[in-house]
Amino acid sequence: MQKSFLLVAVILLFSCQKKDNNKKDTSFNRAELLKQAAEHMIMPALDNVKSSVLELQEAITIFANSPNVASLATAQEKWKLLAISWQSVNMYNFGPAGEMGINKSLNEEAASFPVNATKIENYVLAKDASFNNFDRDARGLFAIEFLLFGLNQTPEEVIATFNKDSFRASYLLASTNKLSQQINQVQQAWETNYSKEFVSNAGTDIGSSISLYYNDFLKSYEGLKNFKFGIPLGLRPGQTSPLPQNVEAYYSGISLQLAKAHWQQIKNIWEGRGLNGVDGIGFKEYLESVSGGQELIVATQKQMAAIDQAFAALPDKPLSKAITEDFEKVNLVHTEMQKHTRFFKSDLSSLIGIAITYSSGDGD
Amino acid sequence: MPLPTAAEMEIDDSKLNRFLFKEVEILPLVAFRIIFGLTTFISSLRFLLLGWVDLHFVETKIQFKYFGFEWVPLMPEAFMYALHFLMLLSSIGIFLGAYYRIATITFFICFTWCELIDLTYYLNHYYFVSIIAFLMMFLPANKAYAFDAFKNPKTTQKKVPAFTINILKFQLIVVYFFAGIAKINYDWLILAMPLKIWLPAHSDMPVLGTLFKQEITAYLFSWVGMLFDVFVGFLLLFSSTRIWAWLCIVVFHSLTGYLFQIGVFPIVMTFSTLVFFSNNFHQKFIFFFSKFISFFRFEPSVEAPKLKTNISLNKLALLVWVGFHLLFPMRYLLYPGNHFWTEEGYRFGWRVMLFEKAGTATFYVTDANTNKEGVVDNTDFLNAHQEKQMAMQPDMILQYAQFLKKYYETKGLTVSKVRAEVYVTLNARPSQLLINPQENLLNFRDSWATKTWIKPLEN
Repeated sequence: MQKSFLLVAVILLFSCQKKDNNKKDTSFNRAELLKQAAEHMIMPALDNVKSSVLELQEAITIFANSPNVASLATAQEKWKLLAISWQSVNMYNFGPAGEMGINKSLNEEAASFPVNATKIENYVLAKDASFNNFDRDARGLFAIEFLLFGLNQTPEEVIATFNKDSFRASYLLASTNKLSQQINQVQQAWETNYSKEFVSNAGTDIGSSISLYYNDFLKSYEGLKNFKFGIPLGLRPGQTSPLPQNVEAYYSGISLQLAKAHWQQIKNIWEGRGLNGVDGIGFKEYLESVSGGQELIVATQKQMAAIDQAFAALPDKPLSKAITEDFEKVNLVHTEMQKHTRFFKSDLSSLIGIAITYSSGDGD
Repeated sequence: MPLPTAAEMEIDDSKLNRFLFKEVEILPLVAFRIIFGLTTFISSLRFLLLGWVDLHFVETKIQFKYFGFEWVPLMPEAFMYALHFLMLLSSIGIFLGAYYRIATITFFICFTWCELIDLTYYLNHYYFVSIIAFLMMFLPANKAYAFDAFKNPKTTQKKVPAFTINILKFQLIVVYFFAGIAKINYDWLILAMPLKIWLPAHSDMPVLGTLFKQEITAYLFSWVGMLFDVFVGFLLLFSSTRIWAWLCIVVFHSLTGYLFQIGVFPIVMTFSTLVFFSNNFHQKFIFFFSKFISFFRFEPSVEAPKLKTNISLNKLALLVWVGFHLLFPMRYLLYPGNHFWTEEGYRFGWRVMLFEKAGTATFYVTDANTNKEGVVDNTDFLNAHQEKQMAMQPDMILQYAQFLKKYYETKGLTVSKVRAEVYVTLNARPSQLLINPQENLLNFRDSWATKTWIKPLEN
């Protein structure tokens, strides 16, 4: 019985193969998605960030040598550009940007917030710019921001803090150099060999490129929702009031622009839209090829539009201000994002069958 | 119908007795011991090498408990490592038949202890290993071709009662058969779900990848998989079909092992099913190992005394055991609703790889002091695996709610309510609410009773 059954199975298998060509083909070329991501999203964004940080480095070197209103303004301007371009790379914390040894991922190492002003001041006082410590909240992008913008300080007041202690400029410069070096390292790795490795590892198991890419995409989405909105809004259990000073880019006041840029990049990844604006192969296209995908696309797009609307309704001011003055409007962004979570989190990965943990499943 | 006469019953009884207690060669039992020792050794070693002791037992902030086994404690890191080294050591003992009783008891305790610590890591095959380890404690698998037999030739036995081998065969048939009938459902057979998701996900594999893109392949695999599981255990019983059935097992488990992230289970099943083979086969099998382990060669010169068997006690034990393993997996029938959705009576029933399911669970905690409700970030407490499992299984959702209450009360809150918005997608259906999101989860306790707060699966 088993023999004949197998025989039937084998015959079925081969007979169906021929005539099935015109039937629904569930194939999706994951390598194409990965290629689009590597060539049109990740690498160009890393290039951008790399040139932005070089420009910042240059501006800060000039400022450190001669702190004046003009050199400060340039440095501040360059910082803002870098912070905005950072929103297009904050979600690729795998491969060369992944955790390694004692080092956390690139985004955690380079762009942790909120920073701890006291710690920064203490390192400056101690003349310690070695960064031989785990205080990621005392260095990186947002430590540089704190030093450049100060807390509600005029340019003159900022300059005065640098004139008072010459090591402040050294700390600022060292922070920028470290950031630059971190970015460079990742950008180099992508350019030399990682992009090839990334595109060729086209499976769906844990450790496959799609799994890494998806997991970090999701983490970035959750980060936007929880850290850029949830905590500053005071939405965690036990939080009795908002923490407006916990928004991203609190000192420069560009939290709204950054959040919008971040959200735009999340959408770009889902759609597969490159940095050049061309809509290529993304998760959306992947969903088009799988069972139940079409329904999920509709649901996802509908909720994305709701999030877009909530963003559009935000008053044009820093989120820290908006949280105090227009709480409900900011809260609405979080609420809509919360509603959206399942479409990215469980529905997407389940429909396309991406492994999200290392543990063994139930065998058969 | 006339009742059977006492004499007829006597005959029946002796038939049963013959089936259970007939003296048979010990060879299959010894071979099984060797295989079980080896596979558990590999499994334990793999667990250690993958760093899973840390991942499961050291780095976790919360453990989900098994119903009725809440008392099983998680121990400090060093102790958990010690348990795993003991497992390794005892599996070697089982393999060699050395200090066999101590080895099997040690292995059973260490293994089962580790399994009972965190429900999110529940796997049917871990349950299988626990069950077999339990049986092995009682089976005379060290009475020949073993260190114990070599050391103490007087205890050597060449024959054992048939039930000591048949119970293992029973257990294997149970696994396949229940796995098979669980596949007889609409999603599996008519929608070819979840294989319609899982196979295209492996379209990059060489040779077979192209086939996986075809929808028909998912149907074929679904039906073949179902028929395989239902029948293969029985086909192993007959000498005419045995080798073919086993070859199917090899192909089937190699394929699933290759395709899916299912650990050592394929190896365990492929080799365990060798127990069905003939004495002749096992003779050669053991001979192979005796090339490396000299005392496996030891043959007692004197005919060993017969093993004493307490027939009625053994019969009772077997009745209870067999009855339990036939009935317990069926308990899901006592619950209303789709058990793939509710998971009531789902575990410990050999329902393996039956669906693709995932959830997003958002918990809200209310502080009675301020009457303010906060949103929980699950990643503060759970690792990715724990969150994935919790977000679709109602009993874990309850446990997590209780955990959150305790946790936030240590932070100075007075938690009056924990509710959860849980959206679950089952076999590519649009995600829908698993439970009523307004319900205060603190009002419920897990029990055998049906969970009325689970919303029914729609379409």
